[in-house]
Amino acid sequence: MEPIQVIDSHTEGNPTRVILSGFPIPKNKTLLERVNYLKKKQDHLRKILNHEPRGNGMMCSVLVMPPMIRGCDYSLIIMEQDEYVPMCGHCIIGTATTLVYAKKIKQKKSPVTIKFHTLAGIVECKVYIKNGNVDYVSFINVESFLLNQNYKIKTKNYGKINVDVAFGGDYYAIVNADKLKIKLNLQNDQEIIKCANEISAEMLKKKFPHPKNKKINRCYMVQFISNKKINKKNSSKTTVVAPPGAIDRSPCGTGTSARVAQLFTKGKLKLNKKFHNEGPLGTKFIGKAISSKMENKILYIRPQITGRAYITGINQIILDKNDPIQNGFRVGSKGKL
Amino acid sequence: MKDKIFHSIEGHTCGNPVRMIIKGAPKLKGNSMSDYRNYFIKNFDWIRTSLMFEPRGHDMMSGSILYPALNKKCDVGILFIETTGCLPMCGHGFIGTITFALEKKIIKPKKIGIVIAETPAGIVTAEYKKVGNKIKSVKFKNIESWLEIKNFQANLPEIGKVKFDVAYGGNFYAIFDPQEGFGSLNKMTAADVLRISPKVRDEINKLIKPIHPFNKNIKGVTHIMWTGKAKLKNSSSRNAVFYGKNAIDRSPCGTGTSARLAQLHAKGKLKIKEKFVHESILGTQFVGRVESEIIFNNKKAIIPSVEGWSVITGESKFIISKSDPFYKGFSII
Repeated sequence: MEPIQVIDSHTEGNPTRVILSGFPIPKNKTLLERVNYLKKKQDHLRKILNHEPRGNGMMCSVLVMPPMIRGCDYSLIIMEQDEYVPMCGHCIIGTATTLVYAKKIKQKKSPVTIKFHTLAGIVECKVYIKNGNVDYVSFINVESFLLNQNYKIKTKNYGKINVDVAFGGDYYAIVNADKLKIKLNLQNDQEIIKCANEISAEMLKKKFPHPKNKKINRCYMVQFISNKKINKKNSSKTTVVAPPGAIDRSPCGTGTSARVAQLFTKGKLKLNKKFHNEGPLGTKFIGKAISSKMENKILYIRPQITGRAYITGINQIILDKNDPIQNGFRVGSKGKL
Repeated sequence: MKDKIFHSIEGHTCGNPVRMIIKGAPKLKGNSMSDYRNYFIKNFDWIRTSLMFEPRGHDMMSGSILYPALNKKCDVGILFIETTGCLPMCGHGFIGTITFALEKKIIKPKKIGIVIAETPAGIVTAEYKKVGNKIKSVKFKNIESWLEIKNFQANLPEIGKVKFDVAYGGNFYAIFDPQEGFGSLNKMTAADVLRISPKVRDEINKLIKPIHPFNKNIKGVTHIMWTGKAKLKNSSSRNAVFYGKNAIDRSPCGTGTSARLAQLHAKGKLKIKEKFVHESILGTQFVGRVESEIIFNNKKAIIPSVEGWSVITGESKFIISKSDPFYKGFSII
């Protein structure tokens, strides 16, 4: 097999690997069919790209394909550590930045508009250019909302916890870390993960059906929030954990969307007002609610997320059939050694 | 400021990553690779962190930078880089570097089958086996290794009353053979190893203080080796090495294998030149041998050899833009 050509970048700390060539693109007619085909027939390629030794515990790869529907520039398949996801905020910012960097976009006048066709729908990005380089990227995310306020759970090591359940492309259990006396810096990763796993396990005991899509009903992602910021100008601090152990290095695009919905619904953030969401490294995403509507007693908002990505490398991924661990591996928390 | 560019050959040695930098190496000053290492650490540590830490690397990343040898007897000069610093010598990094440099024809050895490399730890000779265009294995002799403490008994966190040995193979290892208490490696998960090892290490270092006789900087038990029954028929033993804050070696571990050879030989369980196939948590294998017995610091010691294999997994061009606030990379350790 010929090498897979990728461009790597990081969006406010979190990595994205954009696949430009060498990856066999499925021929199916719909995006969902293509994802299902990859799952069944080519899942080893996802593992090769994301897992060790070529990737790492945070790597996400994005397959960029010619548009499958009208009015879009590209169709995307987003591949994470465990699965294919409909949408991922940091990947969208990384992919838009990479495509402009690789001169794949004809339009030159800033802001460059790119429309991505994803499993979550069409995502429109604006890429702002400064001195010939990408400065930052904004995109409009899916409808976001606060489902539950002060949902109460009981944990073994952290006692009773109040959780706000909000959706921003995925469900988030929003928890105040200051009240639990948990410091949100990455040096404290083990405690952050331990606490998040306890919260997540409790949250999974109940279903939280999405009002418009009953298939979405699990809240397992945990979003810690805090007032202790690195940069005082930022609005708030966040750390998002995907159990069993991945801490988002960025402030998390879908997480920021959920947070904006939470604050807006609680009357703490006004329409079109910028919310500077600081991640664990001190980097930020700017979120804002650009529209809102009430439907069946739920307040839905449209969030806009703005952030930066930086190119880190242009790589060729080489496969060797004689390598007994060609398909990569993970040293996970489960399974005996 | 202009972007900095580094080219690399990417690969792994029995699972542990090796990032070999072939273009973009900074000019260094000195008369030996040891001088080069000191100069690099003082002036160019950002290159190391940029290439090893996230987002370009990760907790387990390690690699090397190639230089022309300063010593005319040698075929190549190697500087090792990894997440914690610049090791004077790195077993898996050495095997990978020799393999990639030969396969990519970056080094042309003076004598077929042998590469003489200059490392910050001194001259290291590699014997390699080539089949077609591929390097099948690389073998090198490691430094003096010995059993420091035999059958030490202690009451340790989580695993209770246990016996362990302490051996040196480049680092001091506490080696746990299967026994009541922790059972064996085969019953542990990665989460168990990550949770138990640092607690056990802290307690051990309260009880004993091993120190290298000629290098006072090398002291204390830094590495914990959990062992268990081999899963592959042709392996002698299985092991997982814990080191640093939260690292588990993916390979069978070069210095760990050396320490294991010293331990087994001193306990009469391994003869000179006898093949010892050491299996990693991934099921990859190093072949270790006691090459000779020596007297070191008035004590019995051995010269071990370690043989392993590496595979190329990619070629990269790293772009380091100073406009990136994380151009030096970041570490969560």
